[in-house]
Amino acid sequence: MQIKIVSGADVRTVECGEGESFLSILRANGYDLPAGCGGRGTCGKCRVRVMGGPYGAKGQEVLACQTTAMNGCTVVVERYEGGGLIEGTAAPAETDGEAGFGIAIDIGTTTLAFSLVSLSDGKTISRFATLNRQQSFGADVISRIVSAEEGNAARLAQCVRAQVEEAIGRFRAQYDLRSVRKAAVCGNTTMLHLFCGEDVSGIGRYPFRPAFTEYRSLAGHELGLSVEEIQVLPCVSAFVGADIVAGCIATGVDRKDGILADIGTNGEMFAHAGDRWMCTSTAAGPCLEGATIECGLGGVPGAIDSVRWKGGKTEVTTIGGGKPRGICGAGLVDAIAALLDGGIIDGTGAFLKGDRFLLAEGIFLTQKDVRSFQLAKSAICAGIRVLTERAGLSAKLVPLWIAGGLGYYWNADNARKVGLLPSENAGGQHVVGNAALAGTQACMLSRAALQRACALAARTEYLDLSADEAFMNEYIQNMQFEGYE
Amino acid sequence: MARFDEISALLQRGKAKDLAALVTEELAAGVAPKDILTEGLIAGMSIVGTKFKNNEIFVPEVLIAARAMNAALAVLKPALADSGVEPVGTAVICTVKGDLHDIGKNLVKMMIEGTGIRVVDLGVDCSAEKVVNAVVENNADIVCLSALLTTTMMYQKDIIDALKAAGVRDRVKVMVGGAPVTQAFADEIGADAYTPDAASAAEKARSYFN
Repeated sequence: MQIKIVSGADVRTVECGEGESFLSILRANGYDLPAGCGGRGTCGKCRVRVMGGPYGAKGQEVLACQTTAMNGCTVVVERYEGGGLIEGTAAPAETDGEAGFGIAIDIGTTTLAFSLVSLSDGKTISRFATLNRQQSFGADVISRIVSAEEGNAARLAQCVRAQVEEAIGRFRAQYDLRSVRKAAVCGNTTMLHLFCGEDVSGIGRYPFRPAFTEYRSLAGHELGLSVEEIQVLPCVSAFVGADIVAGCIATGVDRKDGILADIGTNGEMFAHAGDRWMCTSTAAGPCLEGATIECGLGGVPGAIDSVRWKGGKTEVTTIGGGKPRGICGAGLVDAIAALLDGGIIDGTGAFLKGDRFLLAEGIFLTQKDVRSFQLAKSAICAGIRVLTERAGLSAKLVPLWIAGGLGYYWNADNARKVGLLPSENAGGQHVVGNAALAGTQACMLSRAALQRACALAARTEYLDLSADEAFMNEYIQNMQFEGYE
Repeated sequence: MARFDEISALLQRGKAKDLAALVTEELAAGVAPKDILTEGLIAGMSIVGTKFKNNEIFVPEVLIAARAMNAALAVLKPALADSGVEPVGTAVICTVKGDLHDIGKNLVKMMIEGTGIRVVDLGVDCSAEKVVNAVVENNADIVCLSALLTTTMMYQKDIIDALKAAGVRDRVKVMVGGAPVTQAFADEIGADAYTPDAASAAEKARSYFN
């Protein structure tokens, strides 16, 4: 049987099997539909419009994962353009001066970021980011692991490798390159396992043992990529990956005391205190990327990215300046701060009146959204606090580097106000953006930097917070909003 | 005139010290321990549960209330034992093997205790064998299983199967919960109940003794 897929001006007729869901058909045909819950029908993000047959000429909105396609119907999908942060600050690094070109790659759960570099002088020629197409297999690492265990491991590997190969092709065409010498890859431990085709099941459950964490150098053809060499950077543990290791190299926190926190779906953190090297991770959940928020949206055009309380109501701005379509993480941080300032919610996070607040036309925050946010922000802040203490650092003295897209775009004062960041670090916070990509680039350019990364991954101890009483106390205490009645 | 409303109010606000003091006073004044428990403490905890279910209050407030409940029970328990009041039943609770999440499990535990049921807590990363042994040793009426990961939820089924193999499945009601768990999943693995939050879990558990 056949169905028609409409995406913008693009109309295609595709073959599909009897009884197949729209999600699986769209996925098979290369449409990047978000399905945060992995097709379980609970996240509501894979909504599409279907026309024809019982849906009528005007059509109906359905969940692509829960709806079986019928012969001759038409499905309309919105285009989800890639976003994601590519800017990153890095400490100046040495360059070995190899000939040719290299590509640094950060495989994020949500976003893939690429950077084309001239190996001889270390200059960045071009960078771009795109959404990780594995998203239709689930939003977070655990759902990807489940999906891999359900028989999709090869498809997940194929999916990310194809995107990397596309990026290589895009750079080559754009800059008329005959060949690309190497690719250096970082990412969280799960993403690197999927990329290398390794078994992820050990990461999915206690005692959380990855199949590998060490540095790997592969020939391009081993993964079907048209580069000579692939360098896969080392990870520390199941939940602290090469992205953090690379971030440490970019910020140079391996050379002086301090803390690096990468804030996203998971808060991964690293602390360096004299002879102690320590890291941890806390599960903030996908709330900060908009996934469990009723009107939540990724950092795409139309997402509310700032909110201000003024004259008894909220004022918002959106990415791209258009009509609000939802709210992204940075907007959420501001919105919570605004609701606190406006006395709409109290210090416990409860709405004083009703159970929702309209931020802009059609975009609101619910009581449940505020509760999800409280869980997420408290996990991050409690993680930073407990790691600081365990490493034996004084929060007032050492610098705190904030990596990741959210920290790059948010209003840092509001992040402290709502208790996402500890207020005691007020003096020494540095926002470094995509430090993982910058650090990967450094490791690709210099043997010395790569050796630093390997040494750091090997000697860093992992602090398990899930069984830590101090963390639990801090986590629960910090769930409320300090300084508000 | 017993001051049950005051007891309930102090419990809801989590005033542990004041609550323990008031319970002591009431006992001295000759109020029946069982009435203090049901009409004061359990009534208060049930309001906490409802408000939590409606998102009006959140995890910290529930934990503070539960702490106050424990302080009050510490005072009340000897008196309850003296007057021959027994727990209405026993529940065994744990987070299943492979999973270390315990906040949700602890909330459920406290809310169930708040209904007068004795709870045996087996902690996290708990094997089927441990659950079966605890059921037998404690002559339990209810088994509550928590799983917060899609990778560990299937272990709830392993535990149900182990209860069957040990021949004690029919003696207990099995309740399952946790973020990835749904009613459909509970049906599929043969659990008796799925509850979406701690307050509903407590209501459900209590309903087995009505």
